[in-house]
Amino acid sequence: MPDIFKTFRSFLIAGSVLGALYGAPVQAADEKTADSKAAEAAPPPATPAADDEALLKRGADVAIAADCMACHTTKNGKPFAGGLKIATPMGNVISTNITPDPEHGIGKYTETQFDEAVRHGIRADGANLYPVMPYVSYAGMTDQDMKALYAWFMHRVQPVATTPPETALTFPANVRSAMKVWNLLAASETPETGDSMTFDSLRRGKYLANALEHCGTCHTPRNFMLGEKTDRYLGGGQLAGWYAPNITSSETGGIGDWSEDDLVAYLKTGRVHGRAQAAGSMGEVVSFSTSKLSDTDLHALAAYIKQVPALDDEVDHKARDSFGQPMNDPDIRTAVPKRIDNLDQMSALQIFDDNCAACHGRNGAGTTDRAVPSLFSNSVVGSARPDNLIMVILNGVDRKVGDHHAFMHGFNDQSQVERLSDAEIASLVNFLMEKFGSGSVNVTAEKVAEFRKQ
Amino acid sequence: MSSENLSADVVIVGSGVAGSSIANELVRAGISVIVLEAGPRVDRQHFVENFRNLENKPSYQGPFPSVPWAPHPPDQQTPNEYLHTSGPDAEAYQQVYLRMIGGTTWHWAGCAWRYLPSDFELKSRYGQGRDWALKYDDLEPFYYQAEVMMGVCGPDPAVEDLGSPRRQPYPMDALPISYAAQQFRKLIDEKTPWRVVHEPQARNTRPYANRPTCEGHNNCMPICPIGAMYNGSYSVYDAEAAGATFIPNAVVYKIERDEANKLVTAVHYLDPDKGSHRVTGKYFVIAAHCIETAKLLLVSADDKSPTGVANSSDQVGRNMMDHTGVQVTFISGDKALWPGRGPLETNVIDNFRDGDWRNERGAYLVHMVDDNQVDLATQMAIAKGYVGRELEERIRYLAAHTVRLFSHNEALPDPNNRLTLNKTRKDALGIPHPDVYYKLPEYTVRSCEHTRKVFRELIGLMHGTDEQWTPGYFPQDHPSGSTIMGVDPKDSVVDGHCRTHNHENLFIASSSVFSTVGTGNITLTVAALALRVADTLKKELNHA
Amino acid sequence: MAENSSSLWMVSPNRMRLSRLLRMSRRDVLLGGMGTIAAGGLVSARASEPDAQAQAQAQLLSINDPLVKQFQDLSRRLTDRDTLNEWIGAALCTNIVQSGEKRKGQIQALHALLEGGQFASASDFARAAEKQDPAFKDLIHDIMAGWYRGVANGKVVVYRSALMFDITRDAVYPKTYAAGGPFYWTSKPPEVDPPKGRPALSSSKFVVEPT
Repeated sequence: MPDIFKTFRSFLIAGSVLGALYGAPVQAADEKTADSKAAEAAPPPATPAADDEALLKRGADVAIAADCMACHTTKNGKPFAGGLKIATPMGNVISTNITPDPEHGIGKYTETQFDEAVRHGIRADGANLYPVMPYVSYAGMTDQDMKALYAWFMHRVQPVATTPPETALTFPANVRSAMKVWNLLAASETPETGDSMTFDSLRRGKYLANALEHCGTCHTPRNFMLGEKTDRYLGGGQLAGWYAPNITSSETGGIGDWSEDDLVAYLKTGRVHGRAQAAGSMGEVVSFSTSKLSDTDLHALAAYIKQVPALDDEVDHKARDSFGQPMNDPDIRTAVPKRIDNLDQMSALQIFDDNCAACHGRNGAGTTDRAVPSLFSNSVVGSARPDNLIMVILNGVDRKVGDHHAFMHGFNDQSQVERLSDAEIASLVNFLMEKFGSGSVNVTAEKVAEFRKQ
Repeated sequence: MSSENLSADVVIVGSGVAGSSIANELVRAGISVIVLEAGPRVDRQHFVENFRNLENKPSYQGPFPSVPWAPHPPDQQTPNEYLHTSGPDAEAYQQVYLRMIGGTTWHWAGCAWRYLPSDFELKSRYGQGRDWALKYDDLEPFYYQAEVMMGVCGPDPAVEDLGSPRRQPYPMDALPISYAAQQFRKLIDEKTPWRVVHEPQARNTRPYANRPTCEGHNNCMPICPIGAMYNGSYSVYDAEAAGATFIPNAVVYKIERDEANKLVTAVHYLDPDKGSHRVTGKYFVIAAHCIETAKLLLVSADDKSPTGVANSSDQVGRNMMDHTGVQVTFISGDKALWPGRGPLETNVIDNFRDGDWRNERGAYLVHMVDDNQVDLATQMAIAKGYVGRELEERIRYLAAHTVRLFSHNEALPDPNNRLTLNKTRKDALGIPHPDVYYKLPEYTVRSCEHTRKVFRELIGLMHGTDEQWTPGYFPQDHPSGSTIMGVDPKDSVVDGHCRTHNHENLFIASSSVFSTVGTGNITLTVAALALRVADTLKKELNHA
Repeated sequence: MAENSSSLWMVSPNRMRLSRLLRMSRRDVLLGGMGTIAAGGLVSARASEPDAQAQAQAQLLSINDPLVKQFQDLSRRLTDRDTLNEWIGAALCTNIVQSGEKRKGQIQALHALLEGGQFASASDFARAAEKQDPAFKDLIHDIMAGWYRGVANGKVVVYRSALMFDITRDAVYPKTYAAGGPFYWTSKPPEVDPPKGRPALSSSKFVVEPT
């Protein structure tokens, strides 16, 4: 497998924003000059208290809650050394080295420069960051947490002396200053103040959800300028391939049927039997971030999410995890073994039986130890949007939480185990939705082909 | 495709574990590779379907009906439609294997033994058989490379030393053995001087190489439904991803040499429509399974080499070896074991793999096979005349108490045990079927007698009844020796690097080069030898 | 393994039938075409020779066929079970009838024996049958192998749904359908007491084949 591609949301994807950016009165600043000047002018970083353990501990917690790791570390790579490719239609944004190495990382950043980058999207050399970096969310962080985060990065992260490849996007996205225009239009979080650890539960939950975990980055849909639609907060958003579902308190369109404990269990382990399992980017969020939050924080976050105003969903009108039942038909067989070169597409039932049933059970109930989830009472299968079902069949699941490694191989054209065609996957998805979900939506092979390209 | 344009630095015949792993190593070192596979491309899901639709579930060949242009044995029955065995122990050489992309590891049990150092020096240590033209230490790094490639789990040598010295730990932790195997192990510990060890296996005990953890479907043979066990197709995928060319349905029938009969210049293959194609290269590797490799060298006989290519020693096709098996099934009188939970083969009595007695009888190892016995129990109970409730309780009892033991008994290289070309039977392309004459070496017979004694003792310890001995001897599908390795070109086909004595750019990567067969399953040694061939080729091609 | 909701797929055909009664009419319609569809989907146009066996098997007897009804009566008696899945029964009956010219007549004759007497158990009935006609033994073997192994006429009629897996589902899984998750096999399976029941039919030779 090549590098893991993080699929990133569509604000860099849709044509509308490119048009807007292209037509906008962009200041075509000579960034190179600005860069070198800024670099020369950068004073040596102030040294925050290297021995202030309370501060450093808080910094570590903030880094986890803000999930810096997910984007700034490659699979099997050194922590925070960057290099992860984040796919966008204009090319790959490659995350940078944010270890305290002075040459390759952010070792020369002053606390102010660090703050500018994290909360305002402006690099030490004055250039704008691409908003793949969720600085509009991080803008909500308290000064105290920023200080702690800086201290932790400078003193507790191991410097790594490597520089990942430069991001090279196509025009107009390659003009970093175009992002200044976008920043004017996009709504940033209002900064919190005070000591975030002393916030009451609801305020703490909100702070975690918005300033740190940046849930809305994926789960809130975007307006035509690709800023978050605040009136559809957590109402569900389209990512490249994956769909970050409606997680409002709606009992029909969201997760109103989940208890606070369900939500805590999901964020802690990535799976709740009979409800949902995390894959794709959400799997990484759980692996790197939410599974490491304290129970108090998890409950605060869950309680906050639970009280987010309910929003109906456009296509899901009954709880996504409420569909399906075990398939108990007898397996009456009429075929004899076929010649080894007969690779003709089999029936949907056979494709299911021969590719899924070994682990998920012929009845779809999963394994008794729940290491393999049930296919019925499963949000991915129950949703009327086939997106995540197609994506998970193509790309599998690879989610590590503590000692638990949830793994399902994909069925795409890099699979070592089985490579299914677009038509086979379409047939399978329709079968699964019919048998275990809310009904087939007649996914076509062409549709699967589009997902395969994501 | 114009056949005249088919050329690569290295041309490999066969896409099993040997051919595909060499291809993968070479192509990643910038060396161009073409792999010619006689059989077709295949697909796991269809084998799973075939298995479930197969009436005779224990038939490992059953889910793999072959194509007419690349037939493989349809079953293990004698007489056979493809592999014709004769001689006093014809049935003991009724091997099965698969001709298709990925090769025979589509249906193996994943047992990934290293040979013991003594296995390479049988002649000098015990005065039997032959010595290899290499030592264990020569192969050790490649054993490890093969273990990483295949994803092998095994015990910590500090806790359980399997007798083959290791420089690195196994890539994965040992597979936890089943309740049945735990009970067997306990019995052996308490009541005998022997021991039961964790079998090293190319099976995932954690997600590895983008394949899942074993879930104990108990179907390693004939088909792992989830890809938790290694097979050659993964190396094919890896090699293809790096740019190697695999041509399926390409049945090689001729090895062309230069005027001096020193260098191989091309191989020729037939497609299913009998169109002939010529493939040129700098180096050639035959990695087509022990039986097909010897068959190809013999089929390529011509005026320059009237007895076959690489055969100035007249040893091609001779010295056929296997692990001959003794098998017994019985009903334990002890507590319920319920074999068949977990993978098929996970534990071994390894006390008889080596000892001074090897100067007179062959070594062996013993498997307590962890095979689901429900179908067998049902057949036995019906045959005994039970119906209704009595049948159901009998099935439960038999399924919980049936024990199957089998052994791998070491053969010796005997030139009279010989593969030849059938004079009348030909496949759809007109290529002769293989014949094998086989008589068990006395060395092996004595070994099997010893095994029977041990089995009887075990049956007694388990208060066994209803013992059913599989009549005679049966093959364990580990054919070897048909292009035997040695230092002397007069009595061997390849040297210590698996290079043919006769043709300096022709290598053989197969169990056919084994000089002795030891006791452990042969696949890991095949893979290690193949990776060593790849290493040799990399050095020669990159220095050229 | 404890019996729980996750192993529901292993429920016996008897219980399956109960859960299906509600949608029986739709199933009736579906089953008419079932064999044909399955066979049609499996026989490849590219295969070197069309599979005559699979074609022939496409025509399964109806569950309402009088012969199938008789077969079900016999099957219930010989398995000591009150309910057996009738779709499986129809498929087994079809294949057993196809396996030999005499089978249809034997099923009818054996059914007549069943109707004509009072038999307290499968064993009682089997003993009486063999006594009346030793040839009934083979038919009873076929019926037993059909329900318990899922095999008839040398072919797989059901695999996972074979009764041998139903009666052992608290201990082992059918191969390729393990549902315990990794390493389930290290746990202790249930103990089984030595059975006391006697065979009903005379013994037949059975040899364990090498694999």
